[in-house]
Amino acid sequence: MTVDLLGSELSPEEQRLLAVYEELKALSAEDLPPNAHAGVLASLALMHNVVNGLALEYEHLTDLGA
Amino acid sequence: MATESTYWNPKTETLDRDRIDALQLAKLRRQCEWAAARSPWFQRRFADEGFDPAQLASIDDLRRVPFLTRDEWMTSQDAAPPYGEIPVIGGEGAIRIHTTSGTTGRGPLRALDSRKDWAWIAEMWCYGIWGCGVRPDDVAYIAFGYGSFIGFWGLHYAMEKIGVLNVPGGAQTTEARVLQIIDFGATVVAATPTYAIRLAQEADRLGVDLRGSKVSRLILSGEPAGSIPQTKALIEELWGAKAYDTAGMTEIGTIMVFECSHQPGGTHIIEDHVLEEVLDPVSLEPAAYGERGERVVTSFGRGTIPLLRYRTGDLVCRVPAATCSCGRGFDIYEGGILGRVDDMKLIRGTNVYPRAIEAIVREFPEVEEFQTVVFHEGIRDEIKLRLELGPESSAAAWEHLRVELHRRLAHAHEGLNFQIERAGAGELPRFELKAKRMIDLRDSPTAPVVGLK
Repeated sequence: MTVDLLGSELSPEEQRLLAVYEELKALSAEDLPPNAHAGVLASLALMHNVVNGLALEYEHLTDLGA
Repeated sequence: MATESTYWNPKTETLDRDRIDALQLAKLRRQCEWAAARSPWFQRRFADEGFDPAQLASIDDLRRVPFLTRDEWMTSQDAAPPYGEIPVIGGEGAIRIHTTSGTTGRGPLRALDSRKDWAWIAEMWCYGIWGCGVRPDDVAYIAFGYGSFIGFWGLHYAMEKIGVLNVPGGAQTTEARVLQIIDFGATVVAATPTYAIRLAQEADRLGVDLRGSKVSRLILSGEPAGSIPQTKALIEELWGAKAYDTAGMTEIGTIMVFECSHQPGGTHIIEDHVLEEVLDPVSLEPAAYGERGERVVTSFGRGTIPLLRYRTGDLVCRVPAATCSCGRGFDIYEGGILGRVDDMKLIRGTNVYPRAIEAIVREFPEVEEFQTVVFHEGIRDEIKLRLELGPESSAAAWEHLRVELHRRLAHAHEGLNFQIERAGAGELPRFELKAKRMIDLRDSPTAPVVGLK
């Protein structure tokens, strides 16, 4: 069972938000054309705001270029 | 609907104290581990101090983390230019750099940000502007120069993120800005407190009725004056709008406190993203609620520049979140940033704070600008208040003001004699960013002061 930084179970919406974030992280490592790569990194930075703000995940994205 | 939420982030803004502490501890551990793994400066410091992030078992263990000072940051920059060894990367991987204004003999502090860090900077501003009531149907005017100083850059992106129609007011004269505020129908204006007054003075000269304009909110930042009640009241009177204080710093990259729509007489700390301590600046022991002390900040936002226990030199007084009726769990700095720990002047045995002088001067709206000069006369310390009034002020009005200000200032400062002098029109400096109105010539007796008699 996935829990947030406070140990609370994630709501269904929080699980979906976290899944989007994880998918963007995975995509950032793929060999994408420049427009897609830059768009993924920009989106990832914003989704980090979401998962960090909701205390779902806390990490830095330096190694992913974001 | 999202726009009906009182809070930008209801989940964390309404946490109770225990849950805030738990969240901060979780983030503190990871941020310390990050700094230990990636920042050469923190690696050395932790080793020198015998600190290991694994020692962080409770939030009280924060005190095991070594302090960071501005001087140490600058020394690191000087030793390993251009960015020093606190950042975890060099220019590669970053997308942006901002600087502070350089202090005497040293260059500016250079702050790098990655995409994620920059998004976080805007996110922090969102807490503040949403909290004071800004919504997507607003029109914002940002009266700011858009230069290398970080200033309102984060606010700009926060406005766009929320969906506000944004008017960047860079590279404009004050007159042009006033006219644009009216032409674009701005409902929100962002400026320093000093510049908000300057804009109102210019509007008055132009015959523009700001009180009858669409502006309903002012977002203030950059100076402690946004929480000086007399200055705030003057700004609200001049604009016919509510003024909301915020405060941030280049070292953090963004704001860390904001005044909510309930206006509790202070600013909420954004405690899910920053961990703020208030310490006695001499003993470095924690100050209790209601006691003044130095702000020491740990930021969870930037990965590029880990900021752990940074001694800000800001003077604050922390009170519990329950002081405000808004429902947030975030504690409050009563009166906002009260000044700097070192900005007190000792004049013939009397403590003089710039904030106290401004609080009195701002009760006299006919004062357009002012400056305080501390100097030696023989072996005696003297203090002079220089005032610039509107051109329409009569000699009789000036004499009344002079006598009244002299009396009020002496009363507030144990009878200290303030010399009161009228400056010529346009003689005193005007400020778009941080105002510097206190000049102490005692340490540099040859320093020029324009127009000082």
